[in-house]
Amino acid sequence: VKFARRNSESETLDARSRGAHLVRDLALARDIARAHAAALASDLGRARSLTKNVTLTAAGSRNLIRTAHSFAVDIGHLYFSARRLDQAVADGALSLDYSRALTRQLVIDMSLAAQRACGFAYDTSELVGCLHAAGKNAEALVLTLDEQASPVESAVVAVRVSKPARWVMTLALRALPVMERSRYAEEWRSELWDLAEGPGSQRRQVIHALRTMACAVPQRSSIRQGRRRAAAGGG
Amino acid sequence: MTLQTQAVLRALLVKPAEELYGLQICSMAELPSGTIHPILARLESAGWLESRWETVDPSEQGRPRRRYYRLSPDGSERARLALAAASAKRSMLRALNPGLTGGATA
Repeated sequence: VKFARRNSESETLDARSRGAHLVRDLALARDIARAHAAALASDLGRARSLTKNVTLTAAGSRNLIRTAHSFAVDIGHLYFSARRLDQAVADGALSLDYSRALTRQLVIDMSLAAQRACGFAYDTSELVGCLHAAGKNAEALVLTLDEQASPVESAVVAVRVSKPARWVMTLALRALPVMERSRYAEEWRSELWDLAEGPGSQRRQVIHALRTMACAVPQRSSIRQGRRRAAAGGG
Repeated sequence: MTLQTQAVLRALLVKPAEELYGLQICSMAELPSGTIHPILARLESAGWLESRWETVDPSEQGRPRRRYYRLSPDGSERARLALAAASAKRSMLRALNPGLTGGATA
């Protein structure tokens, strides 16, 4: 009986431990699912915004085609009025009233054409704006999807080089002489990798990158001084 | 010579034969990361430092190569002399003004 009791107690403890593990795993799974849901919601938001921009672009394109058509018609009218005036001048049958009427018609056609040209320019600029916004949204969406498409193991290893830090480093590199950029690009990238392995890495990486950027100008002058010294020593 | 340069030289003189990469030098010199590259560039162009790339294949390692720095034989001698001169100057200043405490510590 004692043995059975001990066994049952041990089994109860095991079951409790397993239950605790299960609860922890479930909580982890729930957190992951929540993170995925948040990412999906963000993607959906971006996709919606992209769709809206594309719809606006399509509508803008239709408007642009309509305006272009009207503009072409106006130009045609203008051409015919000008031809009529030219013909009348060539025939020598140009009475004052007729010439006035023709000139007036020409002026009206020209002003209409000018209005259409303004509309055309406006519609084109709108279309360009819509395309720009759509492009930006598409780019952001692709970036987000790229981030999510990265394999799960990269998250497990937790070596994630911060994008803002990389961006700041790229800016900092521009301050250096062209010949030295590739060297420092690799060196700085390796430093970001080393920082990415530690805790609170994203913030540390960005701070590191900002400090590097702040020191990029003194570094350029150091490199240039060294080159001048080498040139003076060599010459 | 600035206090930061002195700190970098002291860090490199701890084990002159050992090669160190940027972040290691930062932590040993107790300087904020990202601030030592101008100093390293200046020392390297003056011939006090030697540097080389880490001999690993980045594609195999899955990370970029590190750049290792080490004092050149001539550089370590000059660094010792420069640090000694800086230390003497600091001692002289302390003697002139006893309330003055040094900047960078060894």
